[in-house]
Amino acid sequence: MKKFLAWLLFVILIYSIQSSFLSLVYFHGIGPDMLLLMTCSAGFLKGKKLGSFYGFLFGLFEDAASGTFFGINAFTQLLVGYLCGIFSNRVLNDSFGLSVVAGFLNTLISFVIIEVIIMLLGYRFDIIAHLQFRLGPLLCYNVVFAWPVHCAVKWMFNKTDEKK
Amino acid sequence: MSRIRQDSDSRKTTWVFVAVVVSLFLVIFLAARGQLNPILTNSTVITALAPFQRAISWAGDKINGATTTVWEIATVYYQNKELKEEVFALRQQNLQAAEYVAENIRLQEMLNYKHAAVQFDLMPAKVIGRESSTWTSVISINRGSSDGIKPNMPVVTEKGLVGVITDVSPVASRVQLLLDSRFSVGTLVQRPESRVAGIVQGNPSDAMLPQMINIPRNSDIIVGDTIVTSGFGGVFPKGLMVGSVATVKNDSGGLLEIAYINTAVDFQKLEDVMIITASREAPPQPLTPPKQTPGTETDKDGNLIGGDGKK
Repeated sequence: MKKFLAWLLFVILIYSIQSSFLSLVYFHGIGPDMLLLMTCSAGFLKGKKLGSFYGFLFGLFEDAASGTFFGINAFTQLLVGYLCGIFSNRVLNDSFGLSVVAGFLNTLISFVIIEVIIMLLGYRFDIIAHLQFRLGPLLCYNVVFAWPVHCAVKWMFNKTDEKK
Repeated sequence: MSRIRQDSDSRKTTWVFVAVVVSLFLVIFLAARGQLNPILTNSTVITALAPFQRAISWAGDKINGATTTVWEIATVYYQNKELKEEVFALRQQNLQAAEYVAENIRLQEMLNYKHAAVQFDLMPAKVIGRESSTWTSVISINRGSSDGIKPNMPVVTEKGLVGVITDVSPVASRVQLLLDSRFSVGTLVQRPESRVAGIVQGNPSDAMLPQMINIPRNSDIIVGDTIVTSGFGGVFPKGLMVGSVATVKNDSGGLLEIAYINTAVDFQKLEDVMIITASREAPPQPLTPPKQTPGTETDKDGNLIGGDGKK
């Protein structure tokens, strides 16, 4: 329970920073998706089972907090957590390069999945404009924040596991 | 045995994962169509998030304010420099605008004069130079022989006489001002009871105060009388305003008087002038019926209007 509360507080804090502080540096209304980056890190550090579970919870929280299509982030982050978990025992978890590359690729994957779902829901939009004004800034921000978020998640796991 | 169990676990996990993915996929569509209301409503999460967001937002604002202040202090030198440049540019612009306004007023007045002075053919000209000699007062204007300008053409403004064309080149001309000691023009007092004639010429002692000479001692010229050109001599048409009498003094010979004239034209502010290229007799003023005493008005046939004779 303590672990859950600690993680809940951590997620709330990270999401609050993302939505209230980093909004000062949003570009065209786009900022970093730190919960997605947390999912990546959780997947790499804890494997596919826990990675997908954490991803699901983070995504669910993000869905509820952001008011987007319910389940869309839970869905994508579940997949991202699972995908990262697959590689958890094949790569060096502490690598700076890994977190950055993973952040980049997972942002891309997540973006594509969300765009496809939105299209399946019947919405039409200009894909080129989305790539230019949404994916571009999102990739840049996530690449920048990938390593700090990875360090924070790792620190959090160390703390909660120690308590356990 | 262990590997078989591991494989079984892995397969089970995969199936669970697939089931969750499919369920979530359905949830997305159902929620998007409003057929599913999540238990964990948005408002609950928003309520939980609000204090954190408020605190972080407050901190963010403070940090943003501090960084903005630091940045402004760091850039104040360059900002100041830019602002100075902008102020300079705006002053220039302002000056130019004021110049245009003044020019517009001058040209408007000239145009009014041109409309009023129908007996003259006027050509506008711009003063392009002024000689700074002590004894002479001469200006250069931007009209020359190519514009039809000839020597001895009078130069005026809407306020009065300026001078006369002395030298003409194809593109510019030189104008001898009323203030020049070599200049002279036949004038008379405009006041109907006086009509004293004299010659106005430049005053070598005080260039800004030309003098009217050849005034008989017994004339009734007084300070404030308006002096206009007499038309004698043929160079200057009759009726051009010269100025007003400032002082009247006795001539050293004792038989004549000298009147010093305040010129109608301000020669310090001479920018635009008009050249009289041709002049003719002014058309007669339209006749206006004299004012009639109230109660005794008559119509054009002499019949009484109003009172007993009211029609």
